[in-house]
Amino acid sequence: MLKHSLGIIETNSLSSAFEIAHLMVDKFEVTLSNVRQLLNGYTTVFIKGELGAVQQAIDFGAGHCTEKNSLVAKSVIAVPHQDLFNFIEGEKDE
Amino acid sequence: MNNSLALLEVNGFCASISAVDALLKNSSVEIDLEEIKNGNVLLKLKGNIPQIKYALNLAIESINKISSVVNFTVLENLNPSIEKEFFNKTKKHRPVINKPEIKSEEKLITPQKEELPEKKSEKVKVKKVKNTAVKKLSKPKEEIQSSETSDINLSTIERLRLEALGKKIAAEKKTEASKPKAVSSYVVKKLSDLDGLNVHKLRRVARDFEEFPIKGRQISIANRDELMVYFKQILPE
Repeated sequence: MLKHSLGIIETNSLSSAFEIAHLMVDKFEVTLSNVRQLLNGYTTVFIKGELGAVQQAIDFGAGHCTEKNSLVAKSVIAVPHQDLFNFIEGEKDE
Repeated sequence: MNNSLALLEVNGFCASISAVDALLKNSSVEIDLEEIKNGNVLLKLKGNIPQIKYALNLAIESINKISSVVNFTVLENLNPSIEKEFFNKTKKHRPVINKPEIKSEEKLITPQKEELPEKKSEKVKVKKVKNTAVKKLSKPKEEIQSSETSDINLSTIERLRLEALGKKIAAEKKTEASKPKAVSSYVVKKLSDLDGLNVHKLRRVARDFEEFPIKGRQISIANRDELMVYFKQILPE
């Protein structure tokens, strides 16, 4: 169960989202679950992994983002509900 | 009476997802999530009034930890017509195209092609290789036979023949079972039945006719007018 903790980090721009997604996946044992962009350009990165790794990765990403003033919000969900992923995926093009 | 709706506008996707998680775990309201153009996310909660008020407090609490709530309202005793407009409108139903019928035809053709060379190769091997090798070959097939026939005295070649025949019969059954389905979808006995059909359906109907003048690739090349000329030759008006 602990392997599927969910970390969410929301940034100001697509480029900074790419940057921290790359760094987080590179440095910690987490996998990129999803990336979503809102209509004003806010980009949200979802990562999955063990709870400790996710927490560390989100802290690192948030620190990296605040240096550039691009952080909007961050959160960690330890045991996400199964139906939650339907909301995250949204409408996918098949 | 699940006819009340709460609208909750949240700043950012991250906060909305964590709120949805809290609601899924702790409340029993229906949830819908929609992006609005200025980068806010609209959460819609549906249920009866006490459920919704509890859920709203829960959601606002969890959102304020992360981000901020822009606005929220509760609409009580919603008219069903408005309900349809607002709730679950984001899930678009994509039009389903009638492709599965074509797929079923393709699947029918391919397995027959694959099975035939296997049978031939098996027979050739049996003729060439000596008894020891034949036993090895027949071992896995004995398991199938034990369920079907209990005759142990049959020679291996006869067994193989029976198997091959059995496979053929099974394949024929498949084709027999599938053809009527294809025909039943477009029952064409007169020329007037063809009026509503487009070119693809016309071609499919043409393939189902045994006495159709042209066949195979020619049908797939022919356009609507050509096909109609051929249909006029065959069908009564």
